[in-house]
Amino acid sequence: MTSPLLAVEHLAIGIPGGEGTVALVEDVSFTVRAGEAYGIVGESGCGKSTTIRAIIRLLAGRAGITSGSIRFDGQDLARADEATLRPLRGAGIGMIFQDPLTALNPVLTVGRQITEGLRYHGTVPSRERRARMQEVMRLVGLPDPARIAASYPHELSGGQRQRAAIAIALVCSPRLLLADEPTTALDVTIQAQILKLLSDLRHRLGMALILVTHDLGVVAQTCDRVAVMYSGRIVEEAPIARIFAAPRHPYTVALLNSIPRGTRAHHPLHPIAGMPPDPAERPRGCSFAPRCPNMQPACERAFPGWTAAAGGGGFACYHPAPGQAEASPDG
Amino acid sequence: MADRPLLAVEALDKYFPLRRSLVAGMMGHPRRRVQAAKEVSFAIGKGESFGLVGESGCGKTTLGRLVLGLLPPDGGVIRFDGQDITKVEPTARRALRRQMQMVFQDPYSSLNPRIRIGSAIGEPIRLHGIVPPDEVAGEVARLLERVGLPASAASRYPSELSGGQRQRVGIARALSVRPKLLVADEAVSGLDVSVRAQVLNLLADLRRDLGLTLMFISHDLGVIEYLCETVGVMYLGTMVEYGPTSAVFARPAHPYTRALLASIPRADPSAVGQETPLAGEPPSPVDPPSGCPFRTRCPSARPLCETPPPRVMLPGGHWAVCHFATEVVRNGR
Repeated sequence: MTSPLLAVEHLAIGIPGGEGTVALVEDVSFTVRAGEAYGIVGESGCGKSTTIRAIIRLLAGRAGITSGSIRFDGQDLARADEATLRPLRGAGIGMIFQDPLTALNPVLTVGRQITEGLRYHGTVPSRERRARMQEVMRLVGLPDPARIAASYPHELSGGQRQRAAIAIALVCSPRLLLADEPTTALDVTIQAQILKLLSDLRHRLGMALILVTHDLGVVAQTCDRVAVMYSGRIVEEAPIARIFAAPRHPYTVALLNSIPRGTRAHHPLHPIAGMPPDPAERPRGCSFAPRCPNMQPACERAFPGWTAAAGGGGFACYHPAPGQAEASPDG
Repeated sequence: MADRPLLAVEALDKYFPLRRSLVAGMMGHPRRRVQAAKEVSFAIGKGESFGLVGESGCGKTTLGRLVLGLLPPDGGVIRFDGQDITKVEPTARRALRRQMQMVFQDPYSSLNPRIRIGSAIGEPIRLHGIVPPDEVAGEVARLLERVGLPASAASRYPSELSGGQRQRVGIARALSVRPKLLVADEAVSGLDVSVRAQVLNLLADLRRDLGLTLMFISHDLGVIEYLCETVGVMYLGTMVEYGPTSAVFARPAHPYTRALLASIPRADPSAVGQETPLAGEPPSPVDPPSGCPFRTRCPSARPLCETPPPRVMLPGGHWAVCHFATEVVRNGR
């Protein structure tokens, strides 16, 4: 088996505080193969955005990587200096954000922002930049490239802005695209367009994708594998079909039970009581224990280790939901 | 009288004029306006839960504000309990306001950060004299417990509560004056999945226990299906389809509703979108297309669609404003 494109191992991210470091992300490990779509789902504050921002070292404020490694192409990005990171950002790894309006510079034309990466990395000769810009604009489905290239972000619609942001991320042909809630700010019909675009681009360009979202529906439609994060840790990872068919971690089960799937009479919702813990006051054992229906005394003593599951992935739980029956032909 | 709906909206129009430059005014260019509601008609029965769905800019929030009397309409009639609220005296309006309350999307900006939760909920109770002054505190405690918060939350400030807790406070405050109609505008949109499910169940329980009538405005079809018995679909200021939620979801009669339903990313990897997503984006409400407003994006638009479409009545109180509504239902496309 070839080595993965990206391997994150035991990543921990923290913010130094008055009484020691507050851990935002703890012991996160996952790999992404070339061309694969990997989803990270979780609720606000679970550390999903922090995790992917750490990959290209865009952590905000005083947050920093406290331990672990991020291997991309044989280099450890967790320890890389700015000089090593600069050629990778944009050219090796691209990123798109939730709100395209704040991600775009309001005083530069869209065309200038798309070609900025080409100028910076110097990978394409200057006379070919315009052709490359138009090529990538057609690729992301921006109509009339000449007119849109001369427009400013405020002149575009929400969907066009997100397409422009994707064009900026793709112009230097990255092998990995990080997408942080790329469709959350968009209307549902536009969201469907952008998700289809991301899937098409991935297949056409052979690019890997890490998609961070709170929406299990978005992951179901886009990703090959998925990690569920809760309170700074990955609590379950599985191939996409299995997470919906046979979730093991009680939090995954609860999350799936919180999505409306029909009328209340036929499919009543069973929400999880309570709230996730404050990162500064996480319980000593499993962070989900105080809200968990399967909680036992052992859960409060130490965080459960990782149990690998047949068919890939695994979960961190002492008392998981039953897996797919042995009678079932595939795992 | 039992059949009279609590709320009946007939041919409601609302336009927002756009600023016109001085030059354009002198040259006699007509004043341009945004069409936020055009000939909107629907009714909500007593105790019914009605969902209003559409994408940003379709006019669903404006419609909610018109119903509450927060905006004056440019035409049409809004009857609340038989009374035309567009023509009501200012003194009678206050009594009417007590009967209809709103829950807002953002519980952060709809609560005053410097006022304790107890005062925020107690203020409308005092203003409307719901209970004698010495019983207000008890009433606040009762309301807090009704929405699933401890009575001790009364002494907290909004900043001490989470988003879900604040939304519960918003609901308690709306309920404090014992309204008949609750208008909830994207009331669960800012909440996380697990908290959203808690608030949805709370709203459903309150409606059942208090006999509330609910107008639930949302862009989220899954939430509407869960909570609402009837649904109206808005596009560019017009209601393009209306009917029992079960009928509209199972047999959509307007191509826009069909496209909207097909666009929901379903939490089921085996149901990966077979349908191609709707192309393009909604046109500007300043310059809506002639005839059917959806025809510029409709996959099955024909020349006839340039003329205003009729309201086609279907079985079970279900209707759609489309020339080909019966065909859409029959062919499933």
